[in-house]
Amino acid sequence: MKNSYVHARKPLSVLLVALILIVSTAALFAAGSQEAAKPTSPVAITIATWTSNKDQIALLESFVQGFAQSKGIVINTTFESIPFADYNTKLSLELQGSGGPDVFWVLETAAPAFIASNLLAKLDTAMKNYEPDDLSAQALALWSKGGSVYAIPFSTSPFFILYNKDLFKKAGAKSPAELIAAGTWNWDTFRTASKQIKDATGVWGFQTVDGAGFEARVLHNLAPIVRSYGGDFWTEDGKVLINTPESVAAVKLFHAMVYTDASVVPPGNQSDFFAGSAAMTVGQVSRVSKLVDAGFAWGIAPMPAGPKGDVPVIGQAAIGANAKGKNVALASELVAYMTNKASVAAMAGIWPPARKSVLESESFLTSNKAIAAQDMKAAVGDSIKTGRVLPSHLQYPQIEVESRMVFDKLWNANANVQSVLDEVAAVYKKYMK
Amino acid sequence: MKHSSIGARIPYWILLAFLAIIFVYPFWWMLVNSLNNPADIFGTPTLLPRSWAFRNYMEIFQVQPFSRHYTNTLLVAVVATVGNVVVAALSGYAFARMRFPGRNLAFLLLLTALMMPIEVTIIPLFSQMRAFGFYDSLVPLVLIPIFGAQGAFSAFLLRQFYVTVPIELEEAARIDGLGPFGIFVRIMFPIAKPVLSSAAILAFLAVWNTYLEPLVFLNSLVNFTLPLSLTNFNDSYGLPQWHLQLAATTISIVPIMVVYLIFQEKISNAMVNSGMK
Amino acid sequence: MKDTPKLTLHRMHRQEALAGWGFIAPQMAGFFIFVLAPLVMVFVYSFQSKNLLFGGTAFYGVGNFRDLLADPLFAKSLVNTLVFSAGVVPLNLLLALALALYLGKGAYGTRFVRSIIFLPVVTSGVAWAIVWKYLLQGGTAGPVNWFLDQLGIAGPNWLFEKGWAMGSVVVSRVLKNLGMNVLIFMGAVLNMPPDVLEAARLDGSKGLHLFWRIKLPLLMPTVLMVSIVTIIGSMRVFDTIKLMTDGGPEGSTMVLVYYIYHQAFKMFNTGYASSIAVVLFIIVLVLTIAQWSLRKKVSYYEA
Repeated sequence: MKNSYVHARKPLSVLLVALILIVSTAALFAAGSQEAAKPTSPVAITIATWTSNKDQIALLESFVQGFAQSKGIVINTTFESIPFADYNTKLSLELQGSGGPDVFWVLETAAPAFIASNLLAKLDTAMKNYEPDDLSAQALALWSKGGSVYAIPFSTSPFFILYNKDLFKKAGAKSPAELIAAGTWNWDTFRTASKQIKDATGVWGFQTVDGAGFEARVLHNLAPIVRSYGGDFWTEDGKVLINTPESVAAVKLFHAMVYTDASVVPPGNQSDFFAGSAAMTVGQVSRVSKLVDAGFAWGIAPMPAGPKGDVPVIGQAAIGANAKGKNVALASELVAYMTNKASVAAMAGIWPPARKSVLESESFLTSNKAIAAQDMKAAVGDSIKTGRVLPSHLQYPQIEVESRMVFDKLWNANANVQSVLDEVAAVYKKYMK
Repeated sequence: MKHSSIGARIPYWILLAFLAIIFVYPFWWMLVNSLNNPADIFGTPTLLPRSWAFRNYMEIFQVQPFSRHYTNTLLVAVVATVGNVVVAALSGYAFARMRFPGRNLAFLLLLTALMMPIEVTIIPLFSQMRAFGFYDSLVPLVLIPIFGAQGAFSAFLLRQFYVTVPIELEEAARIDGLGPFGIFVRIMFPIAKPVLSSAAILAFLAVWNTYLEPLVFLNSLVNFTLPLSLTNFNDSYGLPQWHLQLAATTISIVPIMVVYLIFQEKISNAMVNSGMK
Repeated sequence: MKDTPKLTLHRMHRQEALAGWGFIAPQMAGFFIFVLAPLVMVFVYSFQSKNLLFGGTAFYGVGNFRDLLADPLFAKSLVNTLVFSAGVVPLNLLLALALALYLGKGAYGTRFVRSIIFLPVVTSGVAWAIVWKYLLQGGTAGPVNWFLDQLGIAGPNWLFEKGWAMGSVVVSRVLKNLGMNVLIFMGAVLNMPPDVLEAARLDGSKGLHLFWRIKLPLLMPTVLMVSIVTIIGSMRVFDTIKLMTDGGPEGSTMVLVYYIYHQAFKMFNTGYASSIAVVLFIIVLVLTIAQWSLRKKVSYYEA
């Protein structure tokens, strides 16, 4: 031991370790509090999004710079990408504290809660000098309350069918394009095609939206079928329709596709349309980029129709300004700028706009290089007119969590669809007043 | 081993093979499929990749700031580990060798931290960190392992060690004119090296693998640590990317595996002792 | 020391006390801020009605606990946690003990087994859960079911069928942590006093008899300790559940810790979630007291 005392006379190394500790802790603290930077002439603006795609961020940045130029100021933008899966939760928590982002994307499901909890700044003043008539009241409905607008949709993107042409050919099934031409593109022919492909090729006929139609996206998955049969989940005025005969018939059709025909990628199975292991799926314009180097020929088609026509789900996303931000007025103006006609037109190829003038323009139909003009019109442009957003609610997260557990009961072969949906309806009713 | 008959060996070899399948195959499967295209991942399992898609390992850095995530994790793990052992060595030494009023009470209090699951206090911790302005930063991930259960454990470990250090060592140093801090820095800290390294291994592994804390405290993609990053290949907007998730998982595990295989005895002993704390 | 004049001794004591406080100051300050304060606060929160999103905090008395009693999901998560423990603990201990006894003989390849069995222990729970989620794919897509298929068995959709999901997470969790207990037991097996074993052998005791009458009693203290540590660990299961089943299907794998997370960070009911955390705290507290009182009895582990 005496020996080690002699050997251990190395205070230097100890000091070094301590130094590293202090410096790196300091660096961490500095990194943690970088929000509170000293005031300099450029304005710092933080924008929260759920995309981390470089091109999309660059596009947004170009709007910010355009805005800064028009105002004659310098803006330093920080983009904060919060992953989609936890976007609502994480953003809500961040906005509750201080130092949240100045401008942020808002998901449709969060709209009522965000407005009710005063997280969003009123945009009425900022919107004054830009042609608001171009945005229909319907497009703004979700984002308005008491005559004020709290966020502006930059994307009004319908979900449509993506299909693998090669697999249809291989199975000898009539493709959606042919069925549309024959005027018989509906849920029954959709079901037949799916089964035909599964039986003939062994490849799944249909994959639910994002492969999550049994879990996180159960409403996305069922909504187009349910609504085109004349059913719904719940309505704006608090009526619960998920256990009506129409809704039940629609859900039964999907259930039969999964368990009777066994043509749908079942829960927990990772077979993927984009990898060529399913013949059809549901997607949006923004997902088409994933098909650029797909190893198969593909096409897009509007959602199949039911007795009440085709009712695709429209995914809306909006931009809003933080009501508690440091530069609320400037941030609000930026939001308005980012959704003005020119900006919206620039985004149209990724995020279909809510602006009539852009939507009806020729340039919109050719805005996405991967999609043919007539498809853009049929599956996107026209669908925006017939489609609807998912039902919204102040307590959407609670409803989602609680009803998910009941929906789970649907996913086995012997499920009694009617009684499960009755249970779901009971959950919904608790929240409707 | 005593020489036993072949008949007695056969069940033994079967057991060995079975264990190898159960404990090695999952890793092998992960490695193989991290080199497959998505379409080749499922179906008949193969022992070697079908697609040899080495580009998966490039792509993970493109779809997410994965190198940033790696750096974050490394930074947090190193700072938290160093902080953990330094703070714990100081207090462990004091608890073992110094006499001061309130010592036993303080030590008893600290021991309660040992049993405190982070899951119990995570909600107030969240509010607290947010009030301190540490939300969406790496700071909570550093502070919690230094002062929470992991920190208390290291302090406990070091106290147990310092109790056994012969007193003559200190007295000799005192005669040399060293004060308490000098004794600690020059003698007590260095001689605790074996225990310090055990504590450090445990703290490092715990921080490297922690999931709940980053899940709760982190927000923006750039601040993610590895466990969060891995789950994000699955959840991000668009479809899950299994091949990338598997490649990223492989990269996150490999350094730990290599270090483990080199310092096996040390690491497993440290962990086993902690399991019996 | 004895020769030191009283006054100096006094000063020395004071110096030592100051130094002692100084030395424990960082640890204790951190303890008060990051352990004790949050613990007090979680009790405070549990008596409040509190929502992170809509803000607002109001005193709610024992309302949260009353609501807990009426909450079927809480009851479910409590039961599920117990079921999970009841699955993990015996399975883990039996396998670990059997392996330790078998390998403890120092058979050829022991080192190899020790190494591989410990691999999952150092692997992150997230990585392990991710890989097992793939291995347990339904149909014949996953390797586990592919293997069963080769034997002519149609494997279930492990993580998505109510009857199988819990069992699946239990097994994957057991495999993750088994190595730890095997090594602990191996240490205990090696520590069995050889003279006692030898005496028993001379008395003609062997095989099962030797195990039940001699070895198990010798190992019993370790077994009890390890059981409690394993129970506490299984009470805290989170990543396995979140990543493999997300609490489903039909809430059949919703456990306490995940329910806390759910209520607090998905539904923002922090007051209510805190009352669940208090319940978890009490359970862990009781287990820890059991562990510590046991530990006093079995002091020879402290080596």
